[in-house]
Amino acid sequence: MDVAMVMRSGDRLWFEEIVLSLARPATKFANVLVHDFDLAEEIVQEAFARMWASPNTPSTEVEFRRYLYRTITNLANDHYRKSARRSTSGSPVPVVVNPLELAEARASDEAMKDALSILGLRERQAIYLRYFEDQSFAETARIMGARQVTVRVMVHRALGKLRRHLSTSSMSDQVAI
Amino acid sequence: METRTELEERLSAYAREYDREFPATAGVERRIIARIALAPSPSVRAPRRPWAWGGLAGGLTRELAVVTILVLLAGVLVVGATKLRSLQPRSVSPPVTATPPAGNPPDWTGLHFVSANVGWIAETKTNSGTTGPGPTFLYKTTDGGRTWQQQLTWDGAGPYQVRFSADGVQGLVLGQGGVPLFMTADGGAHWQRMALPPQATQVWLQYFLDAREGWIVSYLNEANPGIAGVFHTSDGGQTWTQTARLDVSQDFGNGQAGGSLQGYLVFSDSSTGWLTTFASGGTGITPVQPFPYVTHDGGKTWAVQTFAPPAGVVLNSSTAIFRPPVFFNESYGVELVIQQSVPVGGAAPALGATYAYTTTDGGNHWSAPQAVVVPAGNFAPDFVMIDSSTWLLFGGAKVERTTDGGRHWKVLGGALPANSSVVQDDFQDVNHGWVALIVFAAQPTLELYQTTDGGAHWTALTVPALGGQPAEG
Repeated sequence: MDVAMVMRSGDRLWFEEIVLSLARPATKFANVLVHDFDLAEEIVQEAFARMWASPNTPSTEVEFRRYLYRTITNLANDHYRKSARRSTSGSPVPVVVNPLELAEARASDEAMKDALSILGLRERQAIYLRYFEDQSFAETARIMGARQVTVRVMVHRALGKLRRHLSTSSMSDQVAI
Repeated sequence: METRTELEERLSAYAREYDREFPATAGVERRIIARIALAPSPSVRAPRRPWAWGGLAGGLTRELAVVTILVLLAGVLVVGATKLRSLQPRSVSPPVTATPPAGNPPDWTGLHFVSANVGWIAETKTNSGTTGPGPTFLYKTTDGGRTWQQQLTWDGAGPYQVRFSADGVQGLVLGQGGVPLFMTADGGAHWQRMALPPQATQVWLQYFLDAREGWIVSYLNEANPGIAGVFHTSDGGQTWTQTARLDVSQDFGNGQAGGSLQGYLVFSDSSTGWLTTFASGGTGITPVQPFPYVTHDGGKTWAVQTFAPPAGVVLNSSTAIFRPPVFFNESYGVELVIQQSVPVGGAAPALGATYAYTTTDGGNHWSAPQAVVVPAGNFAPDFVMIDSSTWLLFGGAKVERTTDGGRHWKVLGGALPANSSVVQDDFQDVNHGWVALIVFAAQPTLELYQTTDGGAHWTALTVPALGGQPAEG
């Protein structure tokens, strides 16, 4: 077995362990960004495939995770850009029937689910990392490739949006009742 | 109104519920590992990997550059294409980047000649970091590669396919995921951007048989997830017809629930096509059948296309990798299968023998497997197949050729630069062809060569400059 083959085998074992470790959190993360489980899975597959192929893929799991999440975010961005471009290019875009939002749909806090959907992609990313994964601001900033102060401002504004939206919906409910 | 602390606690509670209710992702992990198993490793092309194998580690810039370029060219799937910058042809425009950054040269795709003089190539600016590639420039030559004129520009990655009619009049540029899709009816003087069918929300497979007829397979925007549609066009994307509605999990599940649209789509004629999926394989994964799916009715229905195993060889997703079939016309094609060994004890599989199946009737019948000799020094090579029996293999300056479908190889004289790697090829017949390659240096360069004697001798052509600078030979 030549060197290349040995390295390929070693790489693959190492990579498979990483996949088993990170595929689930990565899919949850992607699903929060795109609200579509099929698309989330395809994005996560694509992200892992790119990292497998890239010579710049970090070796440690911590760095790998940051790089993976950035790749997923970029792919989600691509998806939204493509969708936006289609919607402005004259092609009629059908009303999105979100097939699941899976866990989101099953979560009982419907108001929170609705509120999260109003956030922008970057805000959703920051909120997810901070509150769904309990990441520190420093780590959230590293994953997002942003300065810590930027992330703090982003989270602050996102929380403000959530609070206003939740407050409004709560008042609407009261009126309805 | 809630306080910030109350809101944060509520968010955390919602997050815990989200985590608890999130469905199992074992299938996702299985499919990722399967896809990795089929993808070439960077170490195959560059026998050093900076993050592993400390003793062997080291970062040679040129190897990294090769991988970067090849990875970008390998069909990396997501389209960054968004904004059309110009629909009108233009022969000269200001350069976007006069000098690409060192070690990060532009990406070449879509090399396609319809005659000795008339051809096209696309050049994509590659960005560093995790930003997507782009913009892409499409150039045309009418004097055999002496000069190039920019015809089209868009943001995003290079084309997945560039198709032109034999006379070079009808043409089509197709991006990954169907975006962008441009059509021309005057040799590229004017381009019209075409739309995808609105139901096709997530296009994962695309293939155009020629400049007019093509298919896309896309998830549908339905309440029931995992449903895909097959869409067909015969007018370059002006109109689309949905020909099938498929349950991906069942129809492409390789015998198990949990299929995926990850793979390759190829058609040999208007009726017959193949979908080579990334079957599951890898450590701790239950093997499934590795075979491609075939349609004989233009994509309406799909069935597994089985192949006879080589003597003494078991074909399953852990022991065999089926490449997308290559068709040279409606009748003749080749299907390559790479055998993997699966060591006992959980070690990773290693690549073994390569086998070729051939067809002379458009894939209705396939030959018995023929062992392919892989010339020494090559690991899982990508053969350039000109017809069923004549293939080329490029390795730096060395060009090797077989005329008997891989049984015997001959090293040609060759005149390609040492320390280079071919990234695009296009052959009109066994003698006439073009290759685009990257030459590794501190400042990697892209070069374009032509052969008229089947690869024995090569002539350098002028390279278009990124951003539309006219190039003179």
